[in-house]
Parts: sequence; structure tokens; C-alpha cells
Amino acid sequence: MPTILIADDEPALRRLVRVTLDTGRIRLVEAADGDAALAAAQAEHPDLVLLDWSMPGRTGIEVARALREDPDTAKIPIVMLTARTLPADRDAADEVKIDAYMTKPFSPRALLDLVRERFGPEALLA
Amino acid sequence: MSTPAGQTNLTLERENADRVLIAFETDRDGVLRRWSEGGHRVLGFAASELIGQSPPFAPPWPGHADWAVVAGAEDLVDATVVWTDREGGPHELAVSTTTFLDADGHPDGVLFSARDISQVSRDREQLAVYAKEMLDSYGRELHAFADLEQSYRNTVEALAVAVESKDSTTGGHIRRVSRLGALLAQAHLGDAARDPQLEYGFLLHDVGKLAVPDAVLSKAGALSSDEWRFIRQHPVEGARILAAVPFLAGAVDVVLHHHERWDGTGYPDGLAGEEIPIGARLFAIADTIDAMTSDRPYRSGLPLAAAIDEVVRLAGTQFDPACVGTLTRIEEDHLSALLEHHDA
Repeated sequence: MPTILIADDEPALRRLVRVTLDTGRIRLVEAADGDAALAAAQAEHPDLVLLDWSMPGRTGIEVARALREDPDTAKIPIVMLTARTLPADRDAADEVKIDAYMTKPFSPRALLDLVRERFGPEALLA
Repeated sequence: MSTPAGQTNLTLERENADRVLIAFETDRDGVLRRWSEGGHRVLGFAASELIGQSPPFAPPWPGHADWAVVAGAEDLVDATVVWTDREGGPHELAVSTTTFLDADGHPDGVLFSARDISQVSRDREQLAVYAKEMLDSYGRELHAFADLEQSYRNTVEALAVAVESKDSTTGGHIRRVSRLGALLAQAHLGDAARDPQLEYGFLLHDVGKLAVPDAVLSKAGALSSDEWRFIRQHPVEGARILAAVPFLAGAVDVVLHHHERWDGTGYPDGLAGEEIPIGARLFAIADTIDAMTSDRPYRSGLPLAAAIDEVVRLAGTQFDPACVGTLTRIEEDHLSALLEHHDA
């Protein structure tokens, strides 16, 4: 069963992502700030991280950079899920080699497509 | 300060309130007298930058550009405003005002309190995206379901045409008998007749004839007992053909039992009365009406009224009396329109 880490300081957003992906065939782990996100990623080795940008403690970009710099976590796929939409923001995200960039408000269909492409349709058959 | 999952926490804790509530006080001229910690945190201005002057975030109120006017107005109580922070970033805020009175009861300054509702707006936008996509998905699901149903129907009709082309003496029979069967089923069963499996059964009732040798099907004279065995076997052959197709499982009732008789003397299983599935009981009537009213090389068809009389005569022996009763309650014009032989 794939593990997805949902890192966002907004409880409502974490809950929304959780109910969207809660098929019983995906393990969902949550982190409410940047430090907790980094710790959870190091401990759980998730198969995907959905990473908010603006969080208390480390920002999402700082978390992504820390994950990339550690060989143990460098290959964990990271999807930035953020309200920041400026081209400069995307450039900054590209610099730390994130895997995908989704802007809020996010499309649940796009999120489901992304999960299906990574983990196969069976992950989404509730 | 985390909220337990699934629990809504509507009260702000002290520390949190100080962080997020923007509160400040102006005199009647709109000059700022006091500034809160939350104002500092959310908008970035320090008290020392603001006290003694009009607040720099503007416009102070929708439709008003002057803090003095806003501070002096009695009817400006609450509004949604967009104020810019020290860095120029916009904040959507719900703001309300309270007027202070001095010792003589005269207005003496205004308290502004505002809460950042940007997150509420973002939540609403997110919800709107979900709602729209859910509607899109529902629409796609309906289309996909309709397409699937149409595909089933097209497949069934193609198979029915293949059967008909093999048995050329009965041109148009399948279409007529299916329409007649559907009419009877509608009259007898009401909404339950909407199950497409019934109509699939009607269309495919003779699919087993694909397994009957052409020489037997087209033989003009009397059949030998071996040839009769083939004919009597066609419902079983039909059910066998459909057994491989799960979406036609409900059609098998009609295919397998459309030659059963109410008195138990039919084939292949000799079922009697209500042991015979209702679709097959109704279909047997439609099949007989069409056969009797159709011309054959060796005879011309009966008038519809005579065919109906014959079916009524056979109620309780060959046919379910209740189904026959339904037939007799349908207007004859309605039946004859369905049985138009020239459009076969």
C-alpha cells in the first residue's frame, strides 16, 4: 500500500486531501508544519509528499531542499501544493527539483490523475 | 493548538486571537491612537509607525477613502475590505466598528476590529472547484452509462439481425414481436418493464436458431422427429449462447422459456403456471399474435381480432390468463400499429 505524506499547516486542506484520497488502498500521513513534514518524510519514507509552501517552521521549499540533500530521502517524489503561483515561485521550486507543481485551489481530478499515474488505478478503487 | 481531526473548533484561544485579530482605535478624525499585536503580525506595521496619523492601508471602507469620514459615520458597522500590508500584499478582512463615548456621552473615537478571512475565501474557492468537478464527473458518468447501454443495445440488435437473416420466412418478426412484447410488459408490469433485460430477451428469443441446421429451419414440409428435436432444443441452445455474456444474464429467462406453456406441456423444461418467468409468459403471447397475423408461404395471416380471440381461447392452457387479460385491455388500434408488416 503506497504511503502519501500530506504536509500543510491548514487542517481543512489536510482533511480535504485525506477525504479525496481515502480509498483504503493508500496510507495517508499528515504533518502540520515544515519540521514535522521533514521528520515524517525521514521516518516514513513516503511514496509521495504533497508539500505546502508557506508553513510555520521550515517552508515547503526548505523541506524539499533538505530531502533532496539527504541521499536517504533524495528520491522521494515531491508535489508542491501551494497557493503561490508566480513564475519566480515555480523557478524556486524547480531549483530543488520537485516532481510536480499544483496550485491552490487545486483540482481534485488533477490530484487523482497524479495518484493514478504513480500508483495505478487500483489505488483509487475504493 | 491543533484541532483534533473531525472536530470543528470555533473558539479562538487567547494566544491565537492576539495573533490574528487586527484591532485599532482612532479618534473622531480618523487618527490612530492604539494598535494591536495582531495588527502588527498580520499587516506588518509597528505601532510606532502608525500612532498619530491616519492608517496607511486604504481604502478604509468600501466606497470611502477618508478615515475621518469612516470614523465619524454611524452607519458604517461592518464590511469586507481589502487592506494592504507593509509589503504591499493584499488581505481580505472582515471588519467591524464600535464607537466609544466620553464621560458626557459624546462620540469619542472608534474601535476597528478585523479578522483575516483570506482563508475562508480560499476555502470557498476550493469548495467551488470540487463542486464543479463533481458535477463534471457526474455528467461524464451519465454519458458513459448511456453509451454503454447503447452499445449493449446495438450489440443485441446486431445479433438479433443475424438470427433473423438466417430464418428468412419471418421477415420483420423480431422487431414486431419485441415492440409488442414491450407494450405488453409495460401494460402488465408498469415501471418494472423498464429493465432492458426484458427487451434484450425479446430481441434474442430465437438466438438458439443459430444452432439449428438451415435445412431444418427452411424445410417446407413436415419435420421428422429428429428435426423436431433440433427445433425443441433451440431455447436451450440460445441460453447456452448467452451464458457467456454476463450483461445478458437477465435475458436468458425469455430465451430459455419462451416456448413453455401455462399448462406445463411446453418445452424445454415443461414449466407450468408461475414457474414460467413473467417475461417469457408475456413474450409467448406476443410471439403467437405475430405468428398468427403474419403471412406464410402456405397461408395468409389472420386478422388481428381473430388472433386475439384465439389467444383468449387459449388462456389457462397455453397462456397465463392474467397476461391475456392485459392483452385484451390494450386498444386494438394500438396493437395493430405495432404489427404493421410493411415496415419490416
